[in-house]
Amino acid sequence: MKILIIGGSHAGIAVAKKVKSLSPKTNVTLIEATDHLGFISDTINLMLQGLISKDNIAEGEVYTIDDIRAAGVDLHLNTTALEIDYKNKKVLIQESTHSTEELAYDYLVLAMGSSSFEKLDAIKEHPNVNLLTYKYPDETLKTYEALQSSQSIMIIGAGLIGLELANSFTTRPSQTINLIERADYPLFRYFDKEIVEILMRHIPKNFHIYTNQNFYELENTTDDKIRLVTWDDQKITADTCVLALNPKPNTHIVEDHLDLNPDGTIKVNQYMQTSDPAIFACGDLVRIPVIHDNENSYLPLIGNARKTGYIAAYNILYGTSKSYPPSQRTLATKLFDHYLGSTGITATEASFSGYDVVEINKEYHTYAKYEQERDFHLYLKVIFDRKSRELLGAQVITNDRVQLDLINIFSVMIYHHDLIDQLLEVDTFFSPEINPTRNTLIDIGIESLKYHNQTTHHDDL
Amino acid sequence: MNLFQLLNKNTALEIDIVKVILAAGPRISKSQLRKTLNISNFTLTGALTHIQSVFDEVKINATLEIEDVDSVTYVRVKKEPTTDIFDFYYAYLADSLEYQILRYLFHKQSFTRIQLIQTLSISEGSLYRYLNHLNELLHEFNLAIKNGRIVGEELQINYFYFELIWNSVPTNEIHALITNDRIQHTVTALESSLDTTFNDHTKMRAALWLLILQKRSTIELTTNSVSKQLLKEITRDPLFNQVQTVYLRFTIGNAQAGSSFKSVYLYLFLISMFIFDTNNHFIFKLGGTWPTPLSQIKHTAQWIVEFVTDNLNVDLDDFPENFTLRWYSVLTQLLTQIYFFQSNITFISTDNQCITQTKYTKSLIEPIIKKVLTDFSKPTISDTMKIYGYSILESFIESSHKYAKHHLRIGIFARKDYFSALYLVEQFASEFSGSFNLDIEIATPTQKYDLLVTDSPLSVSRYHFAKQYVLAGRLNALDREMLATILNNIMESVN
Repeated sequence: MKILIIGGSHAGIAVAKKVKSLSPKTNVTLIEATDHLGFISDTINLMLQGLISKDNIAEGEVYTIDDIRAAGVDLHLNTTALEIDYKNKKVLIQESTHSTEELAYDYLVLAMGSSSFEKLDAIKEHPNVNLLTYKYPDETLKTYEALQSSQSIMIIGAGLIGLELANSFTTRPSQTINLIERADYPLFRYFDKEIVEILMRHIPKNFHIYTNQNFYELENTTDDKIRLVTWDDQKITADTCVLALNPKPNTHIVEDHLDLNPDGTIKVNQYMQTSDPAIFACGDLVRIPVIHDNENSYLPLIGNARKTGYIAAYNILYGTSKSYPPSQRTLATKLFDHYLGSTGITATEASFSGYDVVEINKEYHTYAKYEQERDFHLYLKVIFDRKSRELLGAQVITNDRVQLDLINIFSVMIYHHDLIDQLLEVDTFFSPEINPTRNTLIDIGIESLKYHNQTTHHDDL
Repeated sequence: MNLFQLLNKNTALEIDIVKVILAAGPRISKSQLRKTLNISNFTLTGALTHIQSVFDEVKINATLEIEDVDSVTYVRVKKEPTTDIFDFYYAYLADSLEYQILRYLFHKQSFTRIQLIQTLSISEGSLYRYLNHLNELLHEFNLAIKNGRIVGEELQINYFYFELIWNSVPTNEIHALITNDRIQHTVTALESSLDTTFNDHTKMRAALWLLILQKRSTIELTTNSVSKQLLKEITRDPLFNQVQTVYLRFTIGNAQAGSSFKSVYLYLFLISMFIFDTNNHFIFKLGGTWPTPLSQIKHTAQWIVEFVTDNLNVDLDDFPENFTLRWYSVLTQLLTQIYFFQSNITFISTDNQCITQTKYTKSLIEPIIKKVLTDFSKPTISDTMKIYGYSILESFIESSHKYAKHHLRIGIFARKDYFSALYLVEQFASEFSGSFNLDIEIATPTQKYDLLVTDSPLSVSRYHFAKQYVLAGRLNALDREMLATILNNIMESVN
């Protein structure tokens, strides 16, 4: 069997490695348009924080070319897929400037990822405005250089990637950071407002976050800066402007043949199979099911990309039998010396999925009575369905790294469709030397009982 | 655009036949039907046979029956009280190839020449012919089909699809299109965010608009009708931020956020498309006399109210609060529609849409339309939008009549008896009270009348009146026309 993978993204690599580990004799060919594999776009943050130097940018890649070749994958770098002959199952490719050739396949896996950005309304009239991105190594290097030398920086998008980029400037008070966000608060995709409000109390003074903002002008000024004019006529000027938005899925080559979703992603079934049974798609090209959400979502996280790749590989080898398990959408980050974690859906989002939710918020400022002086805070929010009492989501913000792991407990419980009441049944360790004295899970479990419609013995009397 | 324009000649004739039969009452003779439509017996017989088969196919609890009574052949449409005859018209429309091209575009958003030729089983020549005709029809929306896509201003494209689906698809099919949970919950979120409750009709319209926004969420805008000045005004409205937040939640799972203007489109829809939902005064809850942040709309609406009240001699303070709330909301919505949305789609033959205003009402509406076009820098208004706008303005003028300071006093005198006079009073009131501010009563010698209506020129000398009209019996069409002219003249002289 011949499997041809287009795209050396995290998803493409996951397919190749999974197939080769399960079925070493299967012929796997991977073509990649650039000269690198599986680059992590967060690399720029590590560079700005001094963890990776600009001369060692390849440290931002997960696998080396040798790793992939050693796994038995026929790897073609700098190779572009030009055209697909669906009927005869062949892909026309071109390696660098060489002549074209055809590669046959039994199964084709699309893993081209996402790269280009949709055109912002505001730059239609100013196409030459220089907007920086950092999805690939060459862009990352260019953006890194520009950001290093900029006194003022404008970041468009205050979602997770925008804030993570901004966070890299926390220790650089001489640089001014302006974040522009269309929603009414940052990180609105993964966190409810009250969690973000806690974070906002800790943003450095050189940061300005503009929420509820749309803009109609983004242009180069005569002194070589970039100016943005918002719909309500605010003018924001900076030396450089970075796009911290999701790039568009690279579906151009298949858009006339495969069924696409309205947002440009490729329609796949639960097995990652497209409308052409011989073609699978994964990674940033597809939407995935999210637990407790009523429709699939686009979640371009590396973990999800790999998972889609593994599922595609399995179903190619063994027939379409393994469904993609709904994602709990679990993530964590560190921003402005605070750890934030989220799993499941947010309370605001729950209403868009038709749930009547109960929210329990718990705040702690003391680690232990014998450690009154310790700087500790933990804010935990848990939501569950009022009627079924099933856990729907949890969010945490804390300055204690260990507490962030609470999110993984909730993630597993959400995966198993556990009820809020089961918080009182789960064993968690307690040792005063390594735990806070209060057990937050028990506290939340007990508080949830208030929302139980069961009458107490005392009520009956 | 009239959807009848998408039908071929034979199909349009068959719909006309059914309309004439329904209008004629329980049945109509074949010869009368032929005469009315000016067609041959051969054509009629063929058409009736085909109509019968369509009725059978669409299964709407209606049949076409042909029966002979005393050597006369009658035709009747037999239907259940709950049968929606529009489902029959929709079935004809569904067969129209031009309509199928529009629906294909709606579902797929683009086509290649080969895809359409194969899907519709038509020749290339036919395809070009249909596309040319569609482009003629789309012109009134400032849109065109080019290179397999509808091109034009994005707001207009969204609006065109909305009008197309809303007016050409049976209700149960629209329901099926919008069953998506995300859409339904977003409508609920809009209600909650705007602190209002939509009626079922409004919910369905809002859901359909969301579906269209979703279908075209990643389209890059090439032109935009919402100017910077308008954006500034819209952004100042707190309602806009709430709508934008809901819209962002709606599209949160998308790969691309899409244009910021899509939330403006949702906002414009919400402040202009709920004229017939009388429960919705949510825009007032946010304060302000006029329920719009758009100064141009406010200015023109204010002018219309002043123009009408001046001409009808109405004191604005005499309008009850509910009346003002309702009509200020309707007028701003109507004007916002005219300002932002070109034309509309109907599925009623234009022959059957007559503008029924009296001469006086018409004399007020025409300057209003002229003013609206000047204020909005529009050269003209489409026929369908004109009919729609005229009917709303007519209703506003006639409702305002009630609060006019001057009432025309009409006396009715019937020679025969009291009950004949009472009958005439009722007939007169039902005919003219909607258009004129009238006090109608059985004439008494002590009262002075602007007009005395009588069935006899004799014995009227004891009454006091400025003008007199003599009926030849019951109020007939000629009487109606002449009396409307007299009342118009009196109104004009009074105002």
